[in-house]
Amino acid sequence: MSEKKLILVVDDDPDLVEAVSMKVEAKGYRVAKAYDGVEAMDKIKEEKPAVVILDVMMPRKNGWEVCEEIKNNNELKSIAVVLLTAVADSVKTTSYTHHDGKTTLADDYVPKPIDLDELMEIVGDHCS
Amino acid sequence: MGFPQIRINGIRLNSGLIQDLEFPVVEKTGKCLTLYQDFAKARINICCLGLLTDTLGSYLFCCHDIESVRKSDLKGLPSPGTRNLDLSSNVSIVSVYPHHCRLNTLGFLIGLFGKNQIAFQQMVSSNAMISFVINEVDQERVLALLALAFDLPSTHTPFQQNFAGETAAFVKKRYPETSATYVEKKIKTYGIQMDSNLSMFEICFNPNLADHLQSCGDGLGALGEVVKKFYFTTAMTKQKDACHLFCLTDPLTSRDRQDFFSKVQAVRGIDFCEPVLVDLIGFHGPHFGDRFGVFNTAMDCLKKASLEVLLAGCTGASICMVLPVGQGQKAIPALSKGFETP
Repeated sequence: MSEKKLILVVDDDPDLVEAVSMKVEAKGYRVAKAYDGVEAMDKIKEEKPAVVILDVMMPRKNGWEVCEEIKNNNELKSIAVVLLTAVADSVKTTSYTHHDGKTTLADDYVPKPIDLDELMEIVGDHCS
Repeated sequence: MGFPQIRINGIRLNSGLIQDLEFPVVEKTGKCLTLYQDFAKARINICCLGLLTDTLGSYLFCCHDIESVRKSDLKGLPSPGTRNLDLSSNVSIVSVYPHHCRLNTLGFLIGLFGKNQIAFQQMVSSNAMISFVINEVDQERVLALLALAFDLPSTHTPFQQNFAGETAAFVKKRYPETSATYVEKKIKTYGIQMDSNLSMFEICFNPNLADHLQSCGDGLGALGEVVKKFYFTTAMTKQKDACHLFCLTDPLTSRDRQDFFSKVQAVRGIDFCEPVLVDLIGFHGPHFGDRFGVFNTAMDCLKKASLEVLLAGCTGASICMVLPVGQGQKAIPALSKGFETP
């Protein structure tokens, strides 16, 4: 039997990490957790997860930087990165768009507050 | 032989905060805004809040960053004669996560404050965290104690949630979506959760007395051996020497209640109130800590439906509200008028 895939959940909001982790575990994956970008990079190098669910705004190292490090590293670049972004469609003052998010080398994105079922579908796609 | 350390994933620190307290005004002074309404009006984010309603009215504490009030119209408060406010004590919030809803962890933490003779001012739990509001001067000591007392991952560094001025400006400019500078018409959440028919008990103790804290901690720890799980907990210091700790669990048997009662009351001056049945409403994801007016919207929705909030606690991105038993079911449609659920 194949080993359960490992998903790394990274967010500086511990409540969100718990909520997402419970859902990920319920879907039959193994979970690793990190609470900032530096801790995330350590766990990515050490545990090589299949998918990283990655928040953007975090202390020490933000999600964009983590994503760039993963995708610019030959050993890590096959790891799928799903960004969690806080953009709301109603925000007109920001220059950021979802399209920009996808061109930052991340494999996918989910707007915050996330729909956990949508997130799980995306994770499933990257694990298959 | 010592007990094995409790394993947690991290410690979080919010510093540079101001705590404001609001007490009920006994005599009727006509219509006046409460502090959370003022904050919503002045567009100030509250990063931690507790509300307790008793026969006299509502007690409230709010923590927010120092800068936000300097920039706002709130400088002029309080309105004389209409409010009972104690403004501006410098505090920090230290959170431990995850608590896994274990009463043992809660008891251990409260006992730890007692053993080291440090008083906390307030306490609030969320889905994953137990957060303590402490005096700013105690911050380093508390962090060091927690780091020593718990089994932390080697990669963990207790980190500050606050970004320094320059970093914040940079992040905001480069990644504008990360800072919430808008208000949604309907505030998004990850869902509204309800637990009904829970037992809520209250312990009243002096937070400045080490033996009171230790006794509470021991009592909660022992209760944790039989009840295991808490659903929500909060503690508010209503007066300087009177902290009221509330804890929601599955209904206690009379034996468990009696054991807990005698254990906690072994120390003179600690009071224990008989448990009452309540409903708990919890919702996560409205970015409580970095949006203004979230709590105000929640209270507004419930007020319009004539629902009474006995107790509330907000920290991080979570809001927990305790209502009299039977009212939780009505609260969900009422809240859905202001909050969007997936």
